[in-house]
Amino acid sequence: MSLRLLDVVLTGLNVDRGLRDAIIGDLLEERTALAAARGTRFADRWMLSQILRSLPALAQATLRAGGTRAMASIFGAALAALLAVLIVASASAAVVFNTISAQTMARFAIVALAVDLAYGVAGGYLAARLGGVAPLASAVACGSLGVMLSLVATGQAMPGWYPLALQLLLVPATAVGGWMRARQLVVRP
Amino acid sequence: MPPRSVGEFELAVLLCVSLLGDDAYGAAVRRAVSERLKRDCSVGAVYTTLQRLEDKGLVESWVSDPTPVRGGRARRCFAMTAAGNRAIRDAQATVRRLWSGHGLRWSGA
Repeated sequence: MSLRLLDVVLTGLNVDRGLRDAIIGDLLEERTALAAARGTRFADRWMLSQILRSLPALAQATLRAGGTRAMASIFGAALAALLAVLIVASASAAVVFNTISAQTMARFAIVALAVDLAYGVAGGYLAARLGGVAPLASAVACGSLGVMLSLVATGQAMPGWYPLALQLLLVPATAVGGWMRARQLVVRP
Repeated sequence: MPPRSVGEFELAVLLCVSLLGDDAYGAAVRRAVSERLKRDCSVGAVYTTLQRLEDKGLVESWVSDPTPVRGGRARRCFAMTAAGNRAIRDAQATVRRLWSGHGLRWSGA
């Protein structure tokens, strides 16, 4: 994970600019020292591990700092985005199922999955846009709500692997949408 | 004002800020805490703890000048406040009280 990507992720978690710079600067400084002492590969592995292990603490701190209001904002935005996407997806599905048979649809399940994941990206972006507190958290919450919904409501015409694939890929898809929004919010120095 | 209580990790971070003195900034604190706790602590955990300690009024922070080795980014430096020093002393006194009269020998300074 590059430092630029980390910058986007931290922005998505609503980490303020000063803290973002301090964290990224520290990682860069320690990585340089480690690369000189133990090699670039070791330093890169260490930095990746630092980034991945830091994210839960930073996400938790964002939620704790915002309190109940932040949680309401995150889940409100996630729910609103999910509803908006469901309305559009249901309308388009109604049109598709009227024109082609369920058997044909099942044959093109991979295309349907791609379309659903595109809706996921759009939903994640919308949730991130609506949830000002922590855009990335809103996007991931939207994906999680979508997964919960897919556990109780799946298309009967689709093959068995379809709901499982959707449940596995929906949260990453919404995270991509959230990341796209967070990227817009990063102010370059 | 009553003393602010600190958790185990908060105390470790607070002690390292105190030990590092003028050199206490994020990466140095992270390294010092990792060395003393004998595990590689994450920069995120250290910074969120420092933020919490600052909110409690136990440390104060300021931003240094940007440096090239940090990609033109500034360091966030930390220093103990009087309340932070009191919190360390209170934590030490609590541990001493807990150990007093215990069968095992107290090996602390």
